[in-house]
Amino acid sequence: MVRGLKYLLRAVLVSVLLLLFSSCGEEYCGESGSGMPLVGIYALGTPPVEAEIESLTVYGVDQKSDSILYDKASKISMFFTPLNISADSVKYVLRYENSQIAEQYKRDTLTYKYSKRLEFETPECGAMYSFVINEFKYTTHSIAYAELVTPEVNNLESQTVRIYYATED
Amino acid sequence: MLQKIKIILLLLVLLLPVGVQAKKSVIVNAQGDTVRHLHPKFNGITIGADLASPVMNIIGQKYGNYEMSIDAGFYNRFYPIYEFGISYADETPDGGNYRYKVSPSFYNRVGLNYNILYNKDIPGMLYVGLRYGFSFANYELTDITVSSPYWEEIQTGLSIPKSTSVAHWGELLLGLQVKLYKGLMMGWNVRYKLLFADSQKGNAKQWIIPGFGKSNSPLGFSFTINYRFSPKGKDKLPQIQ
Repeated sequence: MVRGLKYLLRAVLVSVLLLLFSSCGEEYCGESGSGMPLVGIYALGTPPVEAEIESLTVYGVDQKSDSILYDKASKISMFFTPLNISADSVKYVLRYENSQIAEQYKRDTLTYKYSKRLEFETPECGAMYSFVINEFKYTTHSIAYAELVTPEVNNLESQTVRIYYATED
Repeated sequence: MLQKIKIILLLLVLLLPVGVQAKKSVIVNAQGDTVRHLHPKFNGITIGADLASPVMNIIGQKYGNYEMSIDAGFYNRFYPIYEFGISYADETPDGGNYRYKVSPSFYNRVGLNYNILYNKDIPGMLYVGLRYGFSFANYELTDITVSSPYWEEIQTGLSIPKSTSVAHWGELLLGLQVKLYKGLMMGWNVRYKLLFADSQKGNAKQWIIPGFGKSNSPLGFSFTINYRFSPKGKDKLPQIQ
């Protein structure tokens, strides 16, 4: 009888362990949901180094209510540029708010043309679009150079695009 | 994956002393002879059904495995078992932007239960078990809503058409079975499940896997009702010394 109780106690112990271990495997879903291109800012050099823009405003062209995405964001070193699920291209305007910049260098644009596919990866993240950028264009008023790091847009915090600026050293 | 293997090894180590301890018993049969096994070589065939899913469905669970099993007992110690069933799902998780549906799909598991108390004169069994399971499923996502907050766009009523998947997995069990009347038994078991592979054709990964349950939940529970057909004249137990 006593031995039987010991067996049962051991069984209960193992069951409790199973329950504890079962709660360790939860996946985390990033808040960004569907992927958004993350743009990193760099200063040209050998090698290029991460840089900050003193004050930057970013907004999308043809946004329904002319809403601004980043309004005079200060000391910004990277920013997201969400894609429009109901279009196959978007254009963002980057306005440099530093008053010392001459008017003709005040604005640049980034344009993405992309394709999208509805996917389901995890129950936590739900169904979402995955995007592939097929074409990337930019202006060079202040931007010296830009590159598409990877055409696949994911919801990890990895950079999709890098823009490089010449510095006054 | 490595962590899951470690967990299974830990559980096996925890259970090992129980098996070792059970071997130490000295058994004397009705004729007074010392024997290795208290129970006959073949001690019956058991047919069972899992009641956990039907009960959970009554209280609101939106997926289920309707399952039966058949096993054969040897020395009341080894129970090779075959479990089979039909699974379905139609679930919209809280806060989810989709409805996940699995068409009724067939699944199988084969494995072995090992009765830790095989040489005991008790009306039941305490067992550990291993299973290998595999299933084929058709599933789809409907009623999907996706939004693009900055661009103030929202799309509703989207769907990801039927995807197909073949899954296979392993399970480690711990269970208890108690004799109620003659061959009628009732029991429960908990299962730790490890998905080996889940092939995917389509844009959706499989979430609710027939026979496995939710892919993000490695723990399972069964509540079973069973009937054992024992060979005639071999169900009387001798005394234990």
